Amino acid sequence: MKYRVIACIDDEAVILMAMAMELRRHFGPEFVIETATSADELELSLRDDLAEGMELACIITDWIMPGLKGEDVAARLRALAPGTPVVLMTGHSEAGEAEAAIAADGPVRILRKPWRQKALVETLTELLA
Amino acid sequence: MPRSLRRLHLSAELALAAALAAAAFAASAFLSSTIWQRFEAAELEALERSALFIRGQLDDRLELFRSYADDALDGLRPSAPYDIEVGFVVETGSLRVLEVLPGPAADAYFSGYSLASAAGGRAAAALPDGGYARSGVVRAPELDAPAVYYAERRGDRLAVALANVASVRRAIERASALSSGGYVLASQDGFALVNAVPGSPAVLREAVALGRSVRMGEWYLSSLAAPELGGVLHRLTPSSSVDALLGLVRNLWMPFLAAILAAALVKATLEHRLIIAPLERISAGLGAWPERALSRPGAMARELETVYRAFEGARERIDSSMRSMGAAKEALAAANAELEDRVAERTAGLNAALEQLTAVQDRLVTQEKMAALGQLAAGVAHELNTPLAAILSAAEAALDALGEGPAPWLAALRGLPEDEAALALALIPRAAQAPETGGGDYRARSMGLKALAERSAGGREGANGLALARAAAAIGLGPDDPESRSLFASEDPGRLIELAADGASAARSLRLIRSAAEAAAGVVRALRSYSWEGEASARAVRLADQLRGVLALLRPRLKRGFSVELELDEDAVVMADFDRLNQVWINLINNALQAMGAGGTLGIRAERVGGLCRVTIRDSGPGVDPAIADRIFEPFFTTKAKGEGTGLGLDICRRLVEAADGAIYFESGASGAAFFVELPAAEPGGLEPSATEVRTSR
Repeated sequence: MKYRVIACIDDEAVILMAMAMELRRHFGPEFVIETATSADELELSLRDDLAEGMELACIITDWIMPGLKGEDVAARLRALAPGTPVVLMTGHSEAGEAEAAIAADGPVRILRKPWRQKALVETLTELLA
Repeated sequence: MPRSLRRLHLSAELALAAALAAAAFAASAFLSSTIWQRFEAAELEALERSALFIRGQLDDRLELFRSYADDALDGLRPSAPYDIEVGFVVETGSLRVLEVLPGPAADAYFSGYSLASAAGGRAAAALPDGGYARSGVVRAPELDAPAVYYAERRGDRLAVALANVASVRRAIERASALSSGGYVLASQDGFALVNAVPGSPAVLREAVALGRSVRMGEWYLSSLAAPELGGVLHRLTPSSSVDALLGLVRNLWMPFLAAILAAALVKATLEHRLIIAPLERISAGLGAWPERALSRPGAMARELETVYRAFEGARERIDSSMRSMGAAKEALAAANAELEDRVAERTAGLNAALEQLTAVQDRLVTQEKMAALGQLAAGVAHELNTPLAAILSAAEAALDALGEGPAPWLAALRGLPEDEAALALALIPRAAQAPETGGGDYRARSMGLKALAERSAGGREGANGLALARAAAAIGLGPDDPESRSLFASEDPGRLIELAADGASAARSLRLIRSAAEAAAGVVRALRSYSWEGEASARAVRLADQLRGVLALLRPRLKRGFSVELELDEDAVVMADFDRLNQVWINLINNALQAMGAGGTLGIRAERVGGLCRVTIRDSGPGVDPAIADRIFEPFFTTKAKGEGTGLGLDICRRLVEAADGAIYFESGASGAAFFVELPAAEPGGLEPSATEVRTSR
């Protein structure tokens, strides 16, 4: 069996906790859920996973983080696994340019904050199919 | 009438007319110069505000570059920044060049004018580690366009960024929109770096007269030296907006002069025709009379009669001319009154125009206030949205875990052998407490667990082992925990982890909801103190007592490494709302303690200085960074890590102090920062003597 990884990043730990809980409930144990509050941390964990033959299935990222934007995260992690689908979480309404930048290198979905569990699960089910 | 008397009369009349005309001229000149001075002062004030505003906008961008430059100096290449055209780091010792940002970088940047002027030592801000930084606008010959630069030197290393002029233009256009005037940012030699107003003169070299408004073609040009923007900031106002008003006022004296001339003409004509001419005729007749009467004696009686009639006629004409003189005088008075009315009318019109100007200025100030309010609302929305998202998601997770009741979960647990069920139950408390953020030692623990899994029976190697190890690490297990050993020895560790995680999910959700709700309540609490308005109840407060009370509250914290130097004047009494003032001292002392970190000296002084009471709160921390000194009183501005401060503390202090007719300011240096609060002094009469005084008097 080939393990697939869902990678989540948000600078707010409380958001990350909530999201990890939802994802573990709906997508574990077939998927390994990696969470981190910084891109460095997340990248290190993903390198371990990929070295063991796991596959990066999806990236879920906040849009605006201190010194970091969602499109940066997408570009950096897609360098490890080109074309990985991205879910961009945002509480702002003007993410059009970011969406276009991410769409240039693979699938992208926008999820508004605060999100409904149903929306998160449906979006991911569609992207992971 | 003797000729000398007539001359005297005439000169007196002329002098009077000239004096009246001069007075009217002086009055209109005075009025127009007053209007001009007000216009000039308003232009300069708008310039100063706009320079501050533009600098703030640029600082935001430069701050962004600065963080990238820091990364570059640390050897970490940042990816895909925005708004920076080009940046590079030069190590001058060996002249190694490291480009850090995408853009049309070329060797030209390292040899030319832009590097030399951008990194020159002039007006550079010192960095704490002995380097220096400088920012502003330069004209980069390679780009053939002005550029915002930021240069920072640390030892042998030099980081330089050039940003597109679009950044400056956007900031200047926003300033234009806010204060409805046109702006030009020019270099010191008068070359326009950025024009934000179409049709403005491109070269301003001739017109630079700092602090004055000068007319230039269709514009009035005011100029302000703004070295922090790399040159001179000019404001252009269409001349038509002021000239109409000035022309009206300057020409006010002309109708006065015309009226005076007309009145003098009428008066002279009437005097000549009704008084002087008849008197001259009589005087001539009387001069010839005795000679003619003696030469023709028979005619004597007739001559006498004629003379009598002539005198009678003259008397009647004098009477009638006196009457018409009266009428003329009244007509003149009426004309004067009418003139006064018209002057009053014009003055009222001018006052109305001035009021309108003032109203426009007020509206601009209100617009800026509304913009600040908008920022505040956006900040609040973001602060509340984060905990709300967490609450919503945790509530759904809890519903998911408990929605069908615990029966299926219990059934799954009962299906396990007894020792495995016990192990799953034992894992629940740990899983409920585990941090889910992936931080800390999560990676190290999972690698240790992977090794453990590989050693255990069942041959869980590679990805299988790592997936299992990650899941175990996520519920808080580590390689040294005895449960881990039992877990990996069991038949289906993944199933046990899943059961434990489900069991912990409800408790974890509730904990999450509680901490998110606390965060939201914190935002609301901060806002409530932020919106304190109109409910103050002022009473006499002895500052020494109040400050001692605040220190008593903070004693547990002060005991850990801080020494306190107190200098409290018992006569320092102010009229203020006790609770609000308390909040000010608590905020300022908290900030001082946070600035000092582990320990230091806190100085508190209350004194009476003439009609003022001054409180000084001094710390021995690192001082306020000069780069943010202008912004520390802004709402939602904070240097603390996320979640540690709302950024409202100093803003609240400022608002509370200003509401009590006081002032707050600070000084900062290498030996720490000092915040000063000045409030109008009140008389100590009617106050209970303080506890200290009671003790000393006994």
